[in-house]
Amino acid sequence: MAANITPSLRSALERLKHGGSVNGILLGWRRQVLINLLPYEEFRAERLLHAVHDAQDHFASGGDRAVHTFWFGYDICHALVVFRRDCTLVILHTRAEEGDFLRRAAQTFLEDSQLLMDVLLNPTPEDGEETQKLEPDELTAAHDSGHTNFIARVL
Amino acid sequence: MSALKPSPLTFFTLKDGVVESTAGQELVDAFAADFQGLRHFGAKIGDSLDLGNAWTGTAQEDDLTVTYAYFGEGTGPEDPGAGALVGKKALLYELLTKVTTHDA
Repeated sequence: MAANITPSLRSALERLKHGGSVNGILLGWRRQVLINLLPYEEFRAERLLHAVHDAQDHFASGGDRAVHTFWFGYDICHALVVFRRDCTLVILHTRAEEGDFLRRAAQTFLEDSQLLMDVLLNPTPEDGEETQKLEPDELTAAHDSGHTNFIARVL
Repeated sequence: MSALKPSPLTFFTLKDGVVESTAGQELVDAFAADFQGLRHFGAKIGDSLDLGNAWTGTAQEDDLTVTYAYFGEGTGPEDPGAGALVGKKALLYELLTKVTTHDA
């Protein structure tokens, strides 16, 4: 699935990765890794995603509790976990004082990316069929003519 | 796990494996349960990335924020630390600062 990620979703995540003192980002859907931009191997990213979901399930098991953010501090970095619907964003960052800024950025990212992720996870057969192909003859003719294309200005 | 959603900011101390507070026993029990859960999953997440144990952990809901932090002498169950619980969506760093500077 990771190979099918749309470029816009990945680029949005890359931009988020360059905000603040971020070391790495993981985007997951349910317990599946969508994009792994962590400085760790894939199996570690999967293990991490399972662990954060186990944590959320643990707190929800009592009934009506819905933890949407976890924030853990380690010797070398902090791990910020933000949940929204079926999506999870894990951000590793070094400066504790950026925790709130990154949480808001993560929430905004997850909010704004719902449509992109929906398209990614539920592709329809019609996707892409509305694109019109260029007429091969015109394109070839223009390319072979050796002239610069000139578009006349319509007054 | 706490079913309680208290509104005031309440501090707890962690010492010799015991959670203490001037708040009622029910609140102490609720925080202790959340603290144990956070500590356990902080270690599990740290283990997945070879980061070790978490020295601080926070869980946040729309109307509840729970946090704990050790004071730097270790992250074992007997090591000293502090925690807090507040019935709102608090700022993460602000609450962490309050916990780490809380005078036990």
